[in-house]
Amino acid sequence: MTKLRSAFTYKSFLGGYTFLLLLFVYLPIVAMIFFSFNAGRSISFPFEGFSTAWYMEIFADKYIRISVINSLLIGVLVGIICTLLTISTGLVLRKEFRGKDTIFYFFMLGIIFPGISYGLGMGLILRSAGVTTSLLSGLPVHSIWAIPWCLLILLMRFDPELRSLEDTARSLGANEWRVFREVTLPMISPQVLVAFLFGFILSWGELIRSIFVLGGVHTIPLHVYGWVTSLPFTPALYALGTIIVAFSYVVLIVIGIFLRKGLKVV
Amino acid sequence: MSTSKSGRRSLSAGKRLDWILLAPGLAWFSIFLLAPVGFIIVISFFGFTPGGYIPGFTLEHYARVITDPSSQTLLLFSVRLSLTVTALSLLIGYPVAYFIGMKMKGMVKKTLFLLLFLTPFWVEYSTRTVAWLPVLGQGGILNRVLMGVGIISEPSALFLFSEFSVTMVMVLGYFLFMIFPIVFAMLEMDPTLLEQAEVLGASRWKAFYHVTFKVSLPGVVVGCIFVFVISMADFATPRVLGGAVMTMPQVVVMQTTSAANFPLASAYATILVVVTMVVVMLLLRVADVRRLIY
Repeated sequence: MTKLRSAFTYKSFLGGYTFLLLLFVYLPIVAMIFFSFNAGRSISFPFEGFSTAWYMEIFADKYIRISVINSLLIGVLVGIICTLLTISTGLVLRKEFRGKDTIFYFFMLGIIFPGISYGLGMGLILRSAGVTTSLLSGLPVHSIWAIPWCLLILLMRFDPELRSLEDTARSLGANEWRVFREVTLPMISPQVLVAFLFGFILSWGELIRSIFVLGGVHTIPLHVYGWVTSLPFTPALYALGTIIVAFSYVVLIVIGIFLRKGLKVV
Repeated sequence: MSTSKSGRRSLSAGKRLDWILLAPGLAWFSIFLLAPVGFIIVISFFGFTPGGYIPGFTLEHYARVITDPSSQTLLLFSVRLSLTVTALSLLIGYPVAYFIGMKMKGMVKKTLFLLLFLTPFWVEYSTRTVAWLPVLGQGGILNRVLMGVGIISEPSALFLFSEFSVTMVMVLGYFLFMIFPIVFAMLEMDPTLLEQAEVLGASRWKAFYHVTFKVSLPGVVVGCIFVFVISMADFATPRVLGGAVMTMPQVVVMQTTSAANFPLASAYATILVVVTMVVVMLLLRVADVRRLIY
């Protein structure tokens, strides 16, 4: 009886702790959303009344519109590169073979190497080669950062039954391409979408690697960073942040739905 | 490729297909990851000219970093900050991972809870950093709550533009990278193991250490790698919330953009790569992380 009670309080203590931490993590986001409606110019207390004027300012800002379009464009392109390279690499890496660990860690270098280092390297290479930086010059570094994460998700989510299903198809005489198209692809389609969305969202938020390779091209993180480091903050910054959060949540809900589908397959 | 009807294929045909599938990824990473890193290593030995470099071999940039007291402080501070953030993330993240991984029932509930922790991460990075200002500032929420409770009698300025604010914001921003791998490691655990330990007379702490903690160790290692690496590369948090606090990535940016000293910036960036690699390799010796992933 006492043991049961102590186990109960122990669990509720952990639950309370988790809840408290969650509260603290969300605190700045709640503050951001709250002060984005501040009628005054302050991003902190005092709150001078409710207004949506800062949202209007964001919607009217030409540079933000350009940044959003740029970020969407590069995000989609990185998502496509990510999907193709993650799937082709992941299909091999789920098998056992000699040198597998080396190849796996080689891809993980995209996370392990500091982004600022290879961002700088890429920027200097482009500069030395006389290439004018554009949105496209951001593709390589963004994808190097995103692919390892997608690969991790893909490898952890591969259905153990998939291999035996493929073998069955092979023993029935299907060639590799048919096995891929009719067995593998339909079964990993949730992961394909998750890889695309992760590639997109990692590129969408990418700042560190972009500084040296995008040059004058504005993406949302670069634009906001420039704003934060040079101009005084106004609640417009929070209004933009709130819009981005709302957008990100939509993307995340889609990811969640597909991950759940992926889980159901298992 | 032979087209035998029986479906018995030569081993080499399958191998060849595997290499064809691997080739694009390997090429992509060689060109866009190894080449840039190799390039900065080379440039870091070149001579300096404003906005460029003079091919040659000199150790002056490394000598400058190693002998200059302010550079020494900077390097040590960056490493210490990242290690502190990693340790604190483990400390506050592990109980949460344990709660989600071991105490929650059902995969859907676990996934939803993880997503709940994940979502703040998608707030635009600089905005998320700035959003701490109304929380940590002198008239901010934290000061108001602490004064309301009676812990402090007047608003404290210590919460902002200090090492404290940088450390705390980084920990709260990155500890979810600790939670995820630990929860994944715990999912692999055989739940009857704990009961067996109890039957064999192990105390709760002993059972936890020998069963749960050992199983979760690969997750801990992967989590520490993620948090350390990301903290090491962070430069907007110290820039916005750090006041006088300065870290390596900030110096790389400054040396590149305002000083246009590419060889020195490359030397800093190379040191950053080396330090990160050393820490990651040390961490990988703690536990075998492969089981966690494939």
